[in-house]
Amino acid sequence: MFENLMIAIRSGFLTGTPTRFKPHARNAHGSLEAVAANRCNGCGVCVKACPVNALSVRTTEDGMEFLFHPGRCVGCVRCIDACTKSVLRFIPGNSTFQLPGTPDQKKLLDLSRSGMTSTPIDDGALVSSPGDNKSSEECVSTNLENIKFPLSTEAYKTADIAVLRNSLHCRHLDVGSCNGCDNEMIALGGPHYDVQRLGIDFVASPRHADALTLTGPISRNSLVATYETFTATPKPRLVFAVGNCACSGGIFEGSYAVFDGASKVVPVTIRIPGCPPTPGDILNALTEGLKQLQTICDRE
Amino acid sequence: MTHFNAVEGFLSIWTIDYHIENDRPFFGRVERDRLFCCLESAKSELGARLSMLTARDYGRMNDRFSLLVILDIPATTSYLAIETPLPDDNLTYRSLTPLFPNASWPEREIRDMFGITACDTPDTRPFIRKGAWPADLFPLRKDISPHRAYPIERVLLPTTVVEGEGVIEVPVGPIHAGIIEPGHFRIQVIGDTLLSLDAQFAFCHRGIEKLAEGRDPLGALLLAERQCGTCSVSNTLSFCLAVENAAGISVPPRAAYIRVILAELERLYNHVNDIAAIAAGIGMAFVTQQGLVLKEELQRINAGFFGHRFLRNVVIPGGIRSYPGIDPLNEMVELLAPIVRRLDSIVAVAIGNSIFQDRLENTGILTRSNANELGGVGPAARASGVSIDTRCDHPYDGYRILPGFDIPTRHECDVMARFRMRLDEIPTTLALIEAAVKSLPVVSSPIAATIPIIAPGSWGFGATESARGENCVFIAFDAHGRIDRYAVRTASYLNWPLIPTTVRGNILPDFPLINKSFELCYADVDR
Repeated sequence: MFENLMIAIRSGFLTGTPTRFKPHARNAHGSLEAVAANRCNGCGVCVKACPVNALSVRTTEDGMEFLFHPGRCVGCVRCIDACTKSVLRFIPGNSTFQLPGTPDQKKLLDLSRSGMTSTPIDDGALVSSPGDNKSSEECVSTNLENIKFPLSTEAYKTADIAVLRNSLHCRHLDVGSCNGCDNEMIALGGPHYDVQRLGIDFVASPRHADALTLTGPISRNSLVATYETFTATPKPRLVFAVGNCACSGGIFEGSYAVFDGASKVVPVTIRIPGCPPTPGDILNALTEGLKQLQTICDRE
Repeated sequence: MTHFNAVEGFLSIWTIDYHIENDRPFFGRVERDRLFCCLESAKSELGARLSMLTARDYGRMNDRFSLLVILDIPATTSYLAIETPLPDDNLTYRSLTPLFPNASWPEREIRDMFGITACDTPDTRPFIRKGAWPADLFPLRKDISPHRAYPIERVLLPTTVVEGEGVIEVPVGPIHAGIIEPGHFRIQVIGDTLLSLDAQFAFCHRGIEKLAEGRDPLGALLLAERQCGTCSVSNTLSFCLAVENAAGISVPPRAAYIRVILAELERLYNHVNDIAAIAAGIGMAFVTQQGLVLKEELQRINAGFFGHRFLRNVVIPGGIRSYPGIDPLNEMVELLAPIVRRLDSIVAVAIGNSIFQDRLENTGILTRSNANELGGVGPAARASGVSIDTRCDHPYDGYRILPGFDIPTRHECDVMARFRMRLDEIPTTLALIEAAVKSLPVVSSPIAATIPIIAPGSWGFGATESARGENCVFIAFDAHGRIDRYAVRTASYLNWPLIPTTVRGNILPDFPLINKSFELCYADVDR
């Protein structure tokens, strides 16, 4: 017992403490930002380097804009490696959870009206999505009691969200994840993040849960399990799509074995991009995300 | 050299044609009707273990399908690949399960994915197919599009039936109580005592092997990296070794050492996580939480020095993408030592606790013969006295050049042995990281070799030791240098069938504990 106490005292207060050493590597977590927009010459190598079409170019009246789709980016840093001008960087902690109704892309760089010298690239060839050629899946199931997927969006009241902000009980649902996101969620329970202090907990049954934290693109093999877990959760049931696979299908988009993201099956409340999102990103979405959701509900 | 002669003699007797090349697996083609006898002889004469059993579809009119068996020949540092063409009008072969019990799962998988049937196989249930595509459709065949989706059927999973007075069946999953991956278990109990366990997988099936087809190595790298979160480095490394094997290149020395550092960092945080998870299995919150603290600190070190908490994006075909430099790496070694010291003090608390001892000792016995027969790998097999470690048996990258290191084994075979096994391995891991950092060449030399244009029809094989055991990858290329077949066999795939052999006679609450003492990934099994 004495030894336990000594260890606990020696480890000190950890919750919320940052990393204790100076980082030596460029981070691959967080949000992609143009840290030196003025250096960009619009050559578009970053767009070409991206294997998952997370970057695209849009031509505007007087120039062009680079768009970034956080829900697709897997953080492979190939765009950063490709850029000769060191324009791009991942900024950790600048989490970009997405609320319902927010666009799934953001403006990374605006080259309109800037004194750009090089010829703009042809954007037509660059904006395509690998999932586009997937054949229609109107009839998702042959004998799932003729349920129409995605399940319809459910309304929730401001008061509900206000209550959940103080006590959010989540049921975790792994439906095709690589277990990266799951590991980060386990880390949330550890002393560095300690979600229980904020009233957040992961519960054992969907019947005890207010929200589902869903990881993975929803593999078709687990559709039945997903459906039954969702319907077993009492209303208002929020769905957090954790990680890129759950946001958009990620690198598995277009596969015969998966749906392209959670929103193809269940109504998603908050998307948390990242491959995987860091525990800090997830925590931010579970707290700050709900706060902003309440503001949106208030306005409506 | 005598072993080489033995293998060559074996190949000349059994095969239609064979190739022996340096640094590549032995390769031989065997007729279908002689395959069983050939493997029987390989097992008895060469002591072969089954590493991988899979199939290939060449997508051509004639001789379209073939069966691929990759054997581990423990006496040599090489593998033996045997390809068996199958007649187009009769896609069957004699089941290999009586010879290698761990062939049962791959045989079921080959049936699901290629429609090639093993005759007289004891288990004919589907393995990967869970109603997501029609039973007469085989996704890995070349005429099936990777992007086409099919209506989903609700299927009842066929499970083993156990009958008798007082037998109760406990169904668990696929959605589990904790933050765990999906798998479905049928546990039969009498009172509180476990009688048998039937595990169902493939809820995480994402079609990775099919998606990789038609991509170039860099495109498929993302898939290999994201097959499993906690084995990212090992899976990527196996993938890269297979590509390098096919291209016939070797990585520069600096990359070889950095790869050792990465693989060992991954092993370190996984072992710390497993120690915490075993403590969680008996509800010992103090050790679990302290373990999570150390795991988080290790993952922050990963992110701080290599940019990613799961060490992704560093290993690439041909070498590595970047590394922080020698001085930061020395600083990293200094950060690791205190973490391991803190781990030791935490573990001392656990091991000194009588409840901890009582729950772990003599629980979940994995007998040495079961581990051997079922082809167990990794710390689980080593805790049952099977001395098997890819780092020693088939050294790759920096493990070839680094001085010899100990691979500890234990003989108690229980959960405690597997717990202590991880502790025993940590000093080796630290020593390897330290040695690799010390041996890093100071002169600036390239960190990645360029991958030349890969010759049409070439193939490669790579195997690495993850925190769970040996992960193997087989890659074959088509005429345009794109991947034609990407086959993965992970440590979890081999070790899962060990768990049902260990649970019988234990109490039901010990099942999660036994499961955690193996700490296997489902994502790695399902792909």
